[in-house]
Amino acid sequence: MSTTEQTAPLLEVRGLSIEAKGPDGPLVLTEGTDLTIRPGQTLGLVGESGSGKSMTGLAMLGVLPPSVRVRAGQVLLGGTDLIALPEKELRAVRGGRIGMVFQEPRRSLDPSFTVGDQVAETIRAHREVSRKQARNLAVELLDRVRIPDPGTRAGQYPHQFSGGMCQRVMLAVALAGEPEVLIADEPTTALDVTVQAAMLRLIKDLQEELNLGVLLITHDMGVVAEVCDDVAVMYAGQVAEVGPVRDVLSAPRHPYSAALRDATPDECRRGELLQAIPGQIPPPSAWPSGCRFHPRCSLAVDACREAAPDVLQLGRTRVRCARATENLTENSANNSTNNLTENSTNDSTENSTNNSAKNEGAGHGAR
Amino acid sequence: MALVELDRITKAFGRGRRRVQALRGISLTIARGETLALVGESGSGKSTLGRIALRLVEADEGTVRILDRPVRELSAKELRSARRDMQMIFQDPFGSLDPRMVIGELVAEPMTVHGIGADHDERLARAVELLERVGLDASAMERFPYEFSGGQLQRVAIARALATDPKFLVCDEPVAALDVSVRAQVLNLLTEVQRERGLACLFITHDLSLVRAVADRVAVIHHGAIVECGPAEEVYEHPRHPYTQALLSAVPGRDPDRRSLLARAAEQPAPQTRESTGCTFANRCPLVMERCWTDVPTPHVDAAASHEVEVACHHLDVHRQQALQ
Amino acid sequence: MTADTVTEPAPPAVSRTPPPPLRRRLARLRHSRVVRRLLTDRPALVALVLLALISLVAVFHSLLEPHDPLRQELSHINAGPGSEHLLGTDYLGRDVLSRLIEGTAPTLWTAVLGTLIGMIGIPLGLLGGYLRGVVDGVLGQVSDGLLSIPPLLFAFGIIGFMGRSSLNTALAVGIVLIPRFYRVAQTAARSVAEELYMEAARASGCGPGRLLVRHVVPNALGPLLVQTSQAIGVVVSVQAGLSVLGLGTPPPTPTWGGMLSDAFDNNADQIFPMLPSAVLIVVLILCFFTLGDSIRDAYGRAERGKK
Repeated sequence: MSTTEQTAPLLEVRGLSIEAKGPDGPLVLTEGTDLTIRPGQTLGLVGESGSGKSMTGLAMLGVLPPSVRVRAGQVLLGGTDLIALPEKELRAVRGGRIGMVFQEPRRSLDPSFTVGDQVAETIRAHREVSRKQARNLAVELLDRVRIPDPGTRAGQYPHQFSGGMCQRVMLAVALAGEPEVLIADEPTTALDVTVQAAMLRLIKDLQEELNLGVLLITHDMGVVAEVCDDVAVMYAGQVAEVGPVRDVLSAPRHPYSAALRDATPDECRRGELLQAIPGQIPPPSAWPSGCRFHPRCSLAVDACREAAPDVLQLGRTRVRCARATENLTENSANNSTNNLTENSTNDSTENSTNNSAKNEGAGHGAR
Repeated sequence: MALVELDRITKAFGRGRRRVQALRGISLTIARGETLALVGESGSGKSTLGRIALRLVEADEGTVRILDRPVRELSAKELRSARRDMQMIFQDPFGSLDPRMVIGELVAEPMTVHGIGADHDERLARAVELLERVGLDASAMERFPYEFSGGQLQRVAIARALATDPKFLVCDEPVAALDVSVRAQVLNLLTEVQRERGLACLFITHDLSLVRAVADRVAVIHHGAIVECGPAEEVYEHPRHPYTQALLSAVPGRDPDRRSLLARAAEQPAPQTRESTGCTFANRCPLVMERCWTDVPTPHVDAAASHEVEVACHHLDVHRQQALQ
Repeated sequence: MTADTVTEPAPPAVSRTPPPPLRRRLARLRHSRVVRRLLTDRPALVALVLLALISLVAVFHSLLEPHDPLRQELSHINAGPGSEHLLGTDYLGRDVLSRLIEGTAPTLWTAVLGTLIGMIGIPLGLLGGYLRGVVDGVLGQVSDGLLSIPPLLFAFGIIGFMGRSSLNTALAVGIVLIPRFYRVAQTAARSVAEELYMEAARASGCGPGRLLVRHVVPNALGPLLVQTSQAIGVVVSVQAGLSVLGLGTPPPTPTWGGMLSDAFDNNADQIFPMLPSAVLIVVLILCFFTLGDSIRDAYGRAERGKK
């Protein structure tokens, strides 16, 4: 299914490091991020709060907050480095060749203009068309994002739209500049599940129609499993693992990817304990030395505490874990859950059956 | 005997043309030691129902009985002392803990209010025990909420809720604001303390995937009406109401080799614009019949089934009658 | 507590019982954070030092005055600065420096007293903002009514009715301030009342008294401190204004406002005689305003948990 190797990259992030101004000197937010987005493909960027996933998205668009800046690295869109581009030229790219959708659609829309005007405004900013043409194109776009009765809806204000409909309008705005790449930062997080499913369906359909390269920033491994071709898992400012979704999710090489995958509780029954990752996500000011996941990792050995692991290429995935080659991840991920459950549960029999069932599933995936 | 009984609760917000019927006659019971998950989407009225159960919001009609006390008829003073038995955990741990109080005072406060413990020192000592029970260190006592992460603060909120040794606990989306990797810790903790203390628990959530892990029974709420209610496992495995089915089919799976979310999403009918005075789900229901638009469906237990699942759906009623004949 | 009743310190690993003074330590911690931030803020520090100096001058005025502030030297009127009179003399030949020093205490005193009277509005506002309903309705109407009268006019009325004195000046300014304090306290209390932690506290069984004292007041304290410190500044300026209009503290007691007014009345063509008192008034006002600003910042940062 994955054609990752064949198509040429559309947007490439190389060695991107971002830092913020802090009271005690600059604070590194992300480090050495490499990402590749290909036409017609969806790259999932998964991580939790503080992982730097949203900052990476903002940096790609050149819209970082005032106290944050790119320290090093490139964002290459068809050979041009967006980081080096002057603001004026970047503005044409933003909303033009790169469209964007954010988490809170209602806040991204101006409450005092009609929805049609806001879409038309973006069209006119990127295309040489008359006001009237822009207006018609806007209605067309609203139809394209499947807003029912777009002619009437175009004349309405954002407050007359539900959250899901607002997100569709945002998508129409993002498409107004005829983009090649769509960056969607948690586009469905604020939406209800049924609305989320419809929204993801819409993004997928538009992607197929327009051959869009999509960067989907999310915290939800389920969404990644359902819609992404490739996935990059970020933890504490670094990409822990990146590769085709099927490889990463069926046979995660990094313990964090495995833990994140298993944090979805839908397989768990009443009476069993969920598989929990111990500890807290460290803030950027308190990232541990060595491997950044080691304090929460059940596989950590002394080497993990001492030295930062190198990025290893294993098949089609790249992993930042010193023990990835040992092919321990699956077994030991299960070991770790065993340890955890032994500490905290009295239903260890049920858990071990559950784990062995997982073992089989993972084994299938690897083959 | 149910510890919590809600009977025909109704509630409307606003007046005149802006009047919104948030709850349309909801009845629920929760037994001692039982967790009932109340599942619904935003605007379904699930949080309002939780607040009505604790009388943080006044209902328009209906009765609430907790430990055989008619909660809606209590005087302000009686209500305050009754609160000892019923506590709440909120979605946003940063907002629900007073930023000007240290953790120790926050956990001790409910004990002070209800006169638990001989003196303040004893209460603080108990607060330390509670914090240790929820997995926090005694050193947390002297620190302020801003020094903690969301997951840790939710533990504090749990400790605070447990301080009065309540019998009934309302958890309003307790993990929705937390990071994925800490959700499981907090859910496990909640399940453990609920078991340990035999709490009756109303677990309000929008996330159906949590239900099986945390709840014994589940009630699915749609626009202020319960559409399906029964044992969690049964509802999860064999959803009967079309809305429950739609909700479940919208939960993403986690196996990239068996993708079906987008296909399922495409099958859902586009909502109709027609107003329904009957079933609240009529305009989105794939099985809608003429009767659904005008008659409010009443919940029925399928007498033939081995499970006590109540479903409010005309379509299923018709099937049931056909099966009987 | 005597030494022999002190309990043995528990081993740190199993410190189940917190040490007794924990409660007091907690309370101290709560305020010290704001104070600490205030002390690391340079403008606030400058303002505090200046205010401390001015207060010292007010207390030890008799030791610092080079001349009798009331003695008139008619042969030496309107003298410029010199070795004998550092800041010169006024239109009655009184030593300006001595009068400034003598005037410090009454100036500060009226300002503080006026603000204290104005602060009656704070508890009323907290109550109104927290209880809402009838209480807020009635108090709000009264305060709006008072606010609609121009403050100076109001002060004229009171002083006209009660006569000129330091106390009446403070009273006039204080009463003008009451509805303003009411508004600030009411708004602060109302926004706190809508916070989720208030609902959480209610859910755990807190009664109205506790909610008000333990939750509303501490959380509304920031804006109130800001308002208080700026109010003192306003009182200083209004008082000076009243003096210029001849409604301030009556002579012979010197106040800075009164001196400015005298200089203005008797020597309007020259700038210098007005300068010392004018500068001091401006400095005093600025001190209170800066302090107010810094308190707001300190509270804001404390809330967000920044260093």
